[in-house]
Amino acid sequence: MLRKIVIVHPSTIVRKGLEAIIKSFFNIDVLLFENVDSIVNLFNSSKRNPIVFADIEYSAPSLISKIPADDLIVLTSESLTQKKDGFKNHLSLFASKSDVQELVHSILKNPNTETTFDHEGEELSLREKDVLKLVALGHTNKEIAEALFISIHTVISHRKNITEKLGIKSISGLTVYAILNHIIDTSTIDLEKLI
Amino acid sequence: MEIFIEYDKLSHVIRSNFHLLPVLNRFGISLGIKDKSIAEVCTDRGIQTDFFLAIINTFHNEDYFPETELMKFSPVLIIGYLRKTHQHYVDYTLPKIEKLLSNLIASCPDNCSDLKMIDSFYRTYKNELVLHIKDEEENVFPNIIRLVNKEEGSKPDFSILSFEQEHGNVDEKLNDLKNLIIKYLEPRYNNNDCNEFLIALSDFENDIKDHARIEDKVLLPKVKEIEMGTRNA
Ligand SMILES: [Fe+2]
Ligand SMILES: [Fe+2]
Repeated sequence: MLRKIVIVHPSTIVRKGLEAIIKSFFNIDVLLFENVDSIVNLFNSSKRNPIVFADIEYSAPSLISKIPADDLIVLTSESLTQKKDGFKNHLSLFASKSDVQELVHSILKNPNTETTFDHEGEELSLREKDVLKLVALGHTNKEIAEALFISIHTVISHRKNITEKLGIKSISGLTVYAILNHIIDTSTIDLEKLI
Repeated sequence: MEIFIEYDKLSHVIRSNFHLLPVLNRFGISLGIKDKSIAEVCTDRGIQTDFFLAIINTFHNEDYFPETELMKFSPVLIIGYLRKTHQHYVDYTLPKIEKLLSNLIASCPDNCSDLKMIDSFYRTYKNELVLHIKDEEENVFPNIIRLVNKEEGSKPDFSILSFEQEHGNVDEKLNDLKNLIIKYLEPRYNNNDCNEFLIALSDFENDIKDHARIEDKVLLPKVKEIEMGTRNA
């Protein structure tokens, strides 16, 4: 999954309009905020920081110390050529749709920002395969913890990662995955009961 | 996305989104509607126009969900629509999906144990869904209607919490089913058969998401509201 985009602007029309333009080009999550107060916790997680569009008057100045310059785009209501000191990326409210597309694309493909937002599509580790095998066979977290000599907390965190990587949430779905990928041996078990 | 209004021609609505056809059928509307507007068709058939508009607009547009507007409709009206929807799923959509799934399995040249696994998974999903629908039809909805009519002993004996949670489980399985086929199943089948199956599955997913959203975001808050009222009275 791509990184998220955050738009902070007091005008609903600007927020919704910019969101619509971005979404017409990219399959990306866009979060909208009226002011900076409620977005602080977005930057405390260990995950990849979002790309932030912020209005020049109120939001951008207070965000500049919190966000890498590459990730911050200042929304200005001035003509296209004027730049504001101290900010790397600018977008005028008079910009065209393709200006928006080019700007977002250039940030998304920047090698420094290439890190993916989550683990979707990653290979399972050997340990995760062990856990998956036991989940697929219908064991509880407690049983899995005992069998693998790890804490229940660790089992839960492995399960969370497995689901994130595979995009499969239900236990019977994970069982089907494990069988399709020969992680469990189908000759010794009753499939009807498991799925 | 467009929001339909009462002056729009119904033929325009249909041309904009063919997936709305079964929704119109649930209101008892069939084709051959000439150039009539939404308001005209609704009046002809005794349908409450604003309710019809609210339903087709929320179905058509994922981002459009006017909760306050929807909350003003009677739960009896909402339940009537939800029941029609259940009936459509059970009588038409699920059998159709099953037919396409058996075509898909039949298109696989040899023993196809993998596809049979998908088939078992589908059946698990379906059993769960059918039980969920049955519970709504036989317990949840009648209880709500009793509550609305303020009948004696209408204290709800169903748990609103379990009603809400089950949608999560059912959605989850449908999504897993799609992912298993798209990402992990060896493509040893006829492509056209697989495409048809996935398209039917995904149309159904959109339909049932809209259905669950009405249950969770409109019907439940509505019931909670009435419950509070009867308790205070
Ligand atoms: Fe339902
Ligand atoms: Fe439901």
